[in-house]
Amino acid sequence: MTEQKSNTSITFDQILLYIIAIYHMALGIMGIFFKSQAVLIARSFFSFNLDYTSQIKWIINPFAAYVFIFGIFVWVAATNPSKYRLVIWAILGLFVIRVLQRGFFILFADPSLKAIVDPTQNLIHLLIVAAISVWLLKIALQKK
Amino acid sequence: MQHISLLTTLYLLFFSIYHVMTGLVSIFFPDTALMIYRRIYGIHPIELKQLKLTFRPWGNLALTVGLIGFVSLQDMVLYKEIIIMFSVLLLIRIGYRTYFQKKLKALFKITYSQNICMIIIQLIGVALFTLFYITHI
Repeated sequence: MTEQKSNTSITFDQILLYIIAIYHMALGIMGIFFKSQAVLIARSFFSFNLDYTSQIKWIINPFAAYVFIFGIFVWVAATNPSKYRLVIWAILGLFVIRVLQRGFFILFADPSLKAIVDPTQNLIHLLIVAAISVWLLKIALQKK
Repeated sequence: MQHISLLTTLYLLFFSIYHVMTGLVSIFFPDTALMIYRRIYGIHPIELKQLKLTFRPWGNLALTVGLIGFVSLQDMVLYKEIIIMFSVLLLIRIGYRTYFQKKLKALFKITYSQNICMIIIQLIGVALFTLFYITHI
């Protein structure tokens, strides 16, 4: 009975993975179908001042497609984290690079491209992504 | 069925190599990435500052997709649910390439034949990934 319950119930790790998946899928769908919101999305989620040119409008398509499919991969991994452990390592890789990219962007990007200039706010954004990375590492290192 | 598995393996191998390579180049060498995309897709962008900055997160995603491709190559039957999702990615790419065909020509000077060529390559991938999945359910 207890064994059966542990097989069917969703763990906290899976909930975290599902949240990451939904976040990316929603962001991808918004990028594909609601491009008029692109400036707001870039500002809110990436701290990035997007100049909405006609070329950028098109570039959002492949970008959004990859964000969406990344969300799908995380979703698949969430269904069975031990089966998709290697996929979780790849997901972790993305988050680690994202931490570095965010840090790089905060420190070195052209000020005109930055939507947030408050260092505390930037640090909070960075810490959230770093915390998710640590949690993903914990999931990836878990024994079957 | 063996032919389908072999062809899917080959396609996935090139698909993964392409994504890892372009991902790494986009993250670390956006100028080189732009040159590569000019060659492969025939794009001629005007505004570069934003575009090159967009390459970094996009490259990160491409790299991850490529790595997941390599993971799937280790045991394609075990990872068949992942493999079928690659065809979803290709279908989305085919979708906007078809829908925005005129805009692609006007904005990036991508010719009709270049676009069709990419769509065919992607369609082959969709067919192979889907066939592989169906034959291994």
